[in-house]
Amino acid sequence: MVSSIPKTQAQRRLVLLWFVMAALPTMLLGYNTQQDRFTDPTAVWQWFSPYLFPTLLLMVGTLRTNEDSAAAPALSSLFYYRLCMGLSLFYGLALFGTLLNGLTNQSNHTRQMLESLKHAGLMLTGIQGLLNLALGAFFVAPPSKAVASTK
Amino acid sequence: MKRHRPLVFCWVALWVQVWLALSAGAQPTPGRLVIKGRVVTVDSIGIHEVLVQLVGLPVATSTDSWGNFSLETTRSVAGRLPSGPVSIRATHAGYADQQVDVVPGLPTMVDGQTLALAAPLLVMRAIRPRMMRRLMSASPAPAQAPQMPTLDWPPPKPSTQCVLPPQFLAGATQLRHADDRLRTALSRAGYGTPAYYQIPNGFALVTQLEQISPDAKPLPAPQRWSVQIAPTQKVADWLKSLVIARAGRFRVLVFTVTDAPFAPSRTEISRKAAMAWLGNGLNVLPPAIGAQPCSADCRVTALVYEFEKVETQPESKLVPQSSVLGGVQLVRTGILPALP
Repeated sequence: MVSSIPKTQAQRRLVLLWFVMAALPTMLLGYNTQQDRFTDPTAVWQWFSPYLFPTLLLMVGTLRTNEDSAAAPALSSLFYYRLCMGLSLFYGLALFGTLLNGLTNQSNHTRQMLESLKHAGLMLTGIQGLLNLALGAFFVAPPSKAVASTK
Repeated sequence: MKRHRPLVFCWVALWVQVWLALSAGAQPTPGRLVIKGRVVTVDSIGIHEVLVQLVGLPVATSTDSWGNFSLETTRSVAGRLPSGPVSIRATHAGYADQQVDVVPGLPTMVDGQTLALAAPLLVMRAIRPRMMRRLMSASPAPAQAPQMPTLDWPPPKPSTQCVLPPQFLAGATQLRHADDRLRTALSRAGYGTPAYYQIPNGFALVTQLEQISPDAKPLPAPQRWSVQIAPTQKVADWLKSLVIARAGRFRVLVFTVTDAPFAPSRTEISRKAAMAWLGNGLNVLPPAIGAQPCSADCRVTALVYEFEKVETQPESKLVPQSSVLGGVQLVRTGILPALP
């Protein structure tokens, strides 16, 4: 059983997942901002940005650095790769769900968007911390030697 | 003889008692003054419960259901009448006081004699609210039912309005007839108990705040009577709400019944103030107002106050000009087709 995956391939897949996850909520927020649905759009974007863009920047930067490197293709643990993928997917769904819930509350006139986001931020902060730890360990961990295993 | 003394004594006592009784009955009865008459409206209809009092004395009575009265007093009391004509005064809520002279001067009364006088027919005229307010402010009003609150007049600027066709009041001779027809139409359209206010020469009727759709149709209950915007029920509406702001629309109807033309003021009312109308008015039209005549010039005007609440605004705002005409709104609420 293969217990490792080429690091570059894993990083690219993770970056792709993150960009896909970031695209939808960013477009949704952008469109609603254009429609002037928020009383304080600056505050809404100030809340949203730290949950996505720093991690995206880190991932893109690491990917670029690795491509510049002349080192031999490295391998990464498959376990950590799957862990990062799972956490990233969960985090993306939680973030998107938070935005949907905030917009629904506002359209029903039960709670303003920013208030809903602030309530959900408590949960997202915890998940983001865990995810950043996993991604950081994955992206900067020394490559593991190829282990040949037989089924 | 001694043996018969008790018997004799009883006989004597018995006849003494008989003599005393007969003596008492033989005393002359005091004279009485009786004044009889009737109180009617201008249409010769008897008025019930009219207070009729003898001017100058604390003697009064009330009319029966046919408007008849009989005012009685003793000769000794009648003797305290001031010199001059003997007069009676009729008083009743919603009508102007009426005073008539029965006789130019009190005739001589004899003990044991009943002096019966016939009063002229008292015709009482209904008075308008403005006159009633003037009269009540001139003299202290006795403790009665709460006064009818007055609506801001001229009324605040509505989103739209509609004068109901004259056929609505066809055959109505009193304001209560117009009230009955309005209440029936509102009840059939699903409205609850309205609130009543006094306006010049008539009355105003205010409905409860209701939630409506953008085409002015009332939402189905219970969302119709909720002051909160109804949440989305369908998935398509929910998806739409993610990209398009939703606004809630509310409406209050005010029906004015009066023969005095009016133009609404430029004052804009808030939704909160419109909701307060329902709580501050009377629950029924007072009989005194309802008994007022409904002239041929009397008209029913529906004032429609629409309010819109957007997501980003904490309070609703009055819609300055509704996109749906007043008459169309009355049709869509079910009021206009339900009119008799």
